[in-house]
Amino acid sequence: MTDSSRPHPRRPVVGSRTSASRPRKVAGRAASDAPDRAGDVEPPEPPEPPEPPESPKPPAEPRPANRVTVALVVAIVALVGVAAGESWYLWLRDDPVVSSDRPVVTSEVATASAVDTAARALQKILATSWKDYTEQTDEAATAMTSAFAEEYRTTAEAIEEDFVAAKTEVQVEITHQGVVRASTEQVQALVFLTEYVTRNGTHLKATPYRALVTVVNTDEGWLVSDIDTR
Amino acid sequence: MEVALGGPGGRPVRRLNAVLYVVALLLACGTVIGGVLVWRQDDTEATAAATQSRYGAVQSAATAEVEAMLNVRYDDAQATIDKVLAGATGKFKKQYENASDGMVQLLKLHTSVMTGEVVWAGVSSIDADSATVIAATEGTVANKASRNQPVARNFRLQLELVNVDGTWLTDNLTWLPDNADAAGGAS
Repeated sequence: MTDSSRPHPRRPVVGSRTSASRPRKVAGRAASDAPDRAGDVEPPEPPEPPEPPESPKPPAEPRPANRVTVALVVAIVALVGVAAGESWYLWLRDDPVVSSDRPVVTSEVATASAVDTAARALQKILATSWKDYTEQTDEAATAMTSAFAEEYRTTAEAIEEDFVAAKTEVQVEITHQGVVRASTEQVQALVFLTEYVTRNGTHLKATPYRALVTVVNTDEGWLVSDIDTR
Repeated sequence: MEVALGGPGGRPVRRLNAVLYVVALLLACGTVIGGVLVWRQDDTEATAAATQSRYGAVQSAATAEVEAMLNVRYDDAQATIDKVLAGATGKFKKQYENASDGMVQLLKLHTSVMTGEVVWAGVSSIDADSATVIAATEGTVANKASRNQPVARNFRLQLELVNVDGTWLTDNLTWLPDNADAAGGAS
């Protein structure tokens, strides 16, 4: 074992601060930095009473500046939370969903516009003449989604020969229309219509129909995606 | 690390606090504006929800009234009459009450049994007090003429409804002509 590994003798605690910080004055010897005149004699100091044992220090209280900082940070965090909540409410919530209790979740103006579009599209699709059958088929397809247009063209081509040979003309009158369901993406309109058919110049009887027309909101506006006439 | 406010090291803290004050103030202004927007949005949505819920209530009332009328049996006509009158008001109620005796006799005479349901009901117009609904139905009728075999009968109807103390009641009902196969009534 080396000397450095030995435990050092503990320095006395009691009175140690006094003896270290305040040198004793000796009679007949002037201290170099003391203002006392040479020859002054100071009576010996009585020994100081022993200091009580040190109690644990109380935690340091934050300074006023730190308190303000903490309060500001807390306030900012709280305000950011409130702002986040407001942003979510204003911009990030889901749109209301169509249900039987609430079948329409769009404004009245938007709903009426979509229903009107659906009714006019139905008229455009159903009203046809043998004179310009192909052109009218193409024109009608512009009011449909591509998938429904493909389905429509298949049917239109299948009946074209008979339709033209019989010199058929179909006129359509929309008599009633109403909204069944409506969201921002899709609207279903119930349309009542009367169909007037002429073949070889002979007027056939007027036939009333009802149709559920589904239109979907696309970049090109409301387009027909389905027609149900059951 | 402790930084004394009063001493030379207090300046950074004062600067930091000043920045924090500005950030907090801007955020406070933003949240106040956001709060106003939220309040307005909430008000708008509450109004829209109330308006949109009317569509469901009106469709439901119209569907119930039409289906009450469509489902009728010659041997239990009173049950149908009671159901229809429960959802009726005004002139339609009076008309139906007046016609009910004759209708019961006719149903018994032809031993008619009619069933049906509303396939689609669309709202043509609506406000807080009144609404117009069109309805398309599917169903069957069986009577002496069909040798008591059910025959398909589809109808198109238009109903005028009014809001009576929060309940939508039918004030007028019109049978619209449907295709040839569906023409005619239960008798």
